[in-house]
Amino acid sequence: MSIDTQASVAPQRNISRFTKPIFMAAILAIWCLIPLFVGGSQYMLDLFIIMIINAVLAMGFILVFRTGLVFLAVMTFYGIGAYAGIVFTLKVGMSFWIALPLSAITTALIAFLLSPFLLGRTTSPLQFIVISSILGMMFALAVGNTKWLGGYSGVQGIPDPPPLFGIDFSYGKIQWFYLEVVMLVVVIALLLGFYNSSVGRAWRSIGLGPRLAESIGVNIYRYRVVAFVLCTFIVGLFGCFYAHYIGYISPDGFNMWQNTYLQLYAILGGLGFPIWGPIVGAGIMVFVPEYLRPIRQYAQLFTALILILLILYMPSGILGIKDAKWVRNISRSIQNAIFRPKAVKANQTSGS
Amino acid sequence: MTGSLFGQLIFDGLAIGLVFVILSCGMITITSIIKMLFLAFGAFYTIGAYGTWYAMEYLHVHYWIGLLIGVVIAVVIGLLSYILIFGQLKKKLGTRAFMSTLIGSVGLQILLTQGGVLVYGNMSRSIPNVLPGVFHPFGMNITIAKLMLIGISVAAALILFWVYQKTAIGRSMRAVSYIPDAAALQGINTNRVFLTAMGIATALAGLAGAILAPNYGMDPLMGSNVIWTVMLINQLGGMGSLLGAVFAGIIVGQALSWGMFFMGSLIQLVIFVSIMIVVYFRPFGLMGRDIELGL
Repeated sequence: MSIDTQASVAPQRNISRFTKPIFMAAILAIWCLIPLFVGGSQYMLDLFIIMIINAVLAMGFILVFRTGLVFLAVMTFYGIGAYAGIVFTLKVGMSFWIALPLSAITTALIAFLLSPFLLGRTTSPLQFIVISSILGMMFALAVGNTKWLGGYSGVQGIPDPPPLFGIDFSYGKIQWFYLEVVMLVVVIALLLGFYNSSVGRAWRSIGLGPRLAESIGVNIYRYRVVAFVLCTFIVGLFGCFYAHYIGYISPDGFNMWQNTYLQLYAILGGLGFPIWGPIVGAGIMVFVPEYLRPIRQYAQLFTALILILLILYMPSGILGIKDAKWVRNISRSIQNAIFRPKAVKANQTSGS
Repeated sequence: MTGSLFGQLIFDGLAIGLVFVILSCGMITITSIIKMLFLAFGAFYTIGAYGTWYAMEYLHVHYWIGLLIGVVIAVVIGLLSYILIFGQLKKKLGTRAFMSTLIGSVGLQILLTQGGVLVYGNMSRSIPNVLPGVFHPFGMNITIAKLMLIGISVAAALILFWVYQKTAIGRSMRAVSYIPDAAALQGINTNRVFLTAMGIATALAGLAGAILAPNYGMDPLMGSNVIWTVMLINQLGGMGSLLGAVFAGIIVGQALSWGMFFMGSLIQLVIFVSIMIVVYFRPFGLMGRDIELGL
């Protein structure tokens, strides 16, 4: 049985090598056309922007999860990025375009300095959960008690970015949408580059079996630090973006429950799909409650029920359905019909 | 500083701390035996409080019967949720169910909190105090209701320890908490142990909610707020240790009571930082041990 699938998959290599980039480019093109489809509805654009932010946060979570650690402080570093961006633009008076990369770098630097503390003595996943969850719980309290950062009432009146290439960011959301598309492409390119390099293979080996990986000679600590710092870099970048997009932030937006909701986005799409899983998961978790709005009282109940049913009957996520047997059979027959009508006949004749 | 203030702070800290002790004992029972991070635990605390209120308001029963009804409701919902969700996940995924049970518990938390709001409304409630007495030894202000709270918590903790150490089911619970597979090989029905652990934990959560309600009042979000404090206490005491939970709960209760008086809300931050330092030097808490989560 397994040999049969191998044989049918092998000749498709040539096709899949070209289809994947084309597929991604096509989705990117469709994504860029979304403002046309929604007809300039600011509300829908807002939902799309929030959805991508959530998806990127979940990508960060999966990035660390792939090295075998459950990271419960994603929101903390998101908040550090947001507050760093505000400090740079409001207190220091920098331009947004310098503050954006700078806040991401600041977040990554803070994460790098914290990494001996978070990862240095980590021998078990439980301890990382413990320390990172304390960090996650602490952020809202720490910022709330700091007068300089606005305390619990938050920071208001975050300035709009100055015009870039003649594009004005002070009104409308389309500019923000395209800025986010650019940032998303950068993030995905960064992630794909890492996942497909030797670093990504080391991460996979650590995630599959830390002890085995260590015995082969993979330096677990160093690779985990790389994953952790990369995750916080991405998350901090979008934190600064979010703060300037919304124009108002308060520490309550970065509390512990937000951290757990991130995992919903990640696991709904499927933890085995580091790029598309979070996008699908965040899309569902943002748009399904929106369409349940007319029955607002019951909306969250339905969301929770859908969540529990998905966990029970699709533990590998929505994208994981492509590994189900019946889906694979159908897709193989479609591929055979489209791409290789002659090859199927040749197989049948040579098989006898 | 007078002696009466000293005593008062210790007394109030003990009252809060013992509620935390009960809650974190329940949470630890789930974490160490079923091996999942049960974030819906706070919802059972709310259910216990509102179950008691509901019984007293609509069935016109006495407080003690209401307390019993609240605990029973919490246990029934807990066992149902285990049978319908987490048991199925465990059966399907085995030891690799950690992430799925975590997400399932978040779903259950949303379901129970929102369902609860639909059932008993979005309002803060309070239960009339059945033991309204106050007496003043050495100038302190000691209410009988808080004494009752302390008494019931100590009794519950003692019963829990007795069950854990002396009975057959407690022995099998300890065995399962160390190595589930080896325990199953020795003939222990692990599924029944998991169910028992879930029942005990949700009973403790319901009890904590029910005895806290006459003293401090209740609101529908109290469960989702308290869960992180409980997790913090678990981490200070150690994830696998009931005794650690007792010490950590009392310490945090005292720290909150004293700190709130002398420092205000800044004490929460101080507690967080100090627990983080403790956890750094003792990775599995004061008295805990490592738990194989099976990610």
